[in-house]
Amino acid sequence: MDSPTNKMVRICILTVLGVVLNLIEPPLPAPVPGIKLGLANLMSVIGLYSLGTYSAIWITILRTITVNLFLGFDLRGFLSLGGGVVSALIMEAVYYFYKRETGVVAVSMLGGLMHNFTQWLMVVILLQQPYLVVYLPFLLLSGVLAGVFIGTTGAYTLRRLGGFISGKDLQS
Amino acid sequence: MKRGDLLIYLFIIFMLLSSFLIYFFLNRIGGANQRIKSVVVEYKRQVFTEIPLPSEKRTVELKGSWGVLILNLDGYKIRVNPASPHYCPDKICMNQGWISEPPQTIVCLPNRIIIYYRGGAQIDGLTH
Ligand SMILES: [Zn+2]
Repeated sequence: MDSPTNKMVRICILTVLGVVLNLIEPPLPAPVPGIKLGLANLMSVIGLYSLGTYSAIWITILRTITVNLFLGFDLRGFLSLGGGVVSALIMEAVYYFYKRETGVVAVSMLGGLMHNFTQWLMVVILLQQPYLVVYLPFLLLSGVLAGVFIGTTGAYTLRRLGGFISGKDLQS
Repeated sequence: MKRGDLLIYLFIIFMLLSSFLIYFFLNRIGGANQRIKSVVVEYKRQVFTEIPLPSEKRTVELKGSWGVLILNLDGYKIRVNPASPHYCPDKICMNQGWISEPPQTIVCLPNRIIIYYRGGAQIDGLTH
């Protein structure tokens, strides 16, 4: 059950679910157009905590590339790739080094915060408009709230379906 | 609560608090009651035009990197006219609709155009 192919197939299934979430998720109002909450990160969190290390980063990269094939590579794709990859890398690192000392909710809150912080930073660097700092509190807060939502939904899903997603149910 | 979680929460609170402090600080030095003086249009980070507000109903044509954006002005309200969709490949600028006060900003990345208010509450603090 722990073969690489098996893990890859499971990662792909979570990726497809993430693509759907990504496509139906509306962009955040007002600030800089194109910034998203990152609800699709739910699948990265579920992947990380059921399939283990490297799942979140794979799911995130595959998801953003697939979504960009649908929508065309533009600012939105660029922002969601950057925000997604940075937040997935941070969650991977915390999971890898501090698995025992941290929980799903806190880690996905951190992921949500870094997801939006990265998108904001990319926009500021791209546009060279430092006054965009006025959007930062709003973006960070919504990122953390998205993380709370993703963390609690993810923890619930993992409790109910964790064994099914990782395939451990079939072993027993 | 686990020990690592506590550190994460502290980090999150630190980030949120400092961003809110920066926000309120800028609001203060900008002067919260300051009026909007004008709208600034930048093309490739150079000020292309600055129009005093309020403005009567009029349109302004902006030549961008991709096409010509038609700007609608009405009082303090501004939008990119959606009538010529082929002038912007992603149409984010057009779908945004009307903006009416700072810090609302219209950004058209394909055309390299940024439109923002000057003299409004927060913006002044940083640009001057
Ligand atoms: Zn545009």
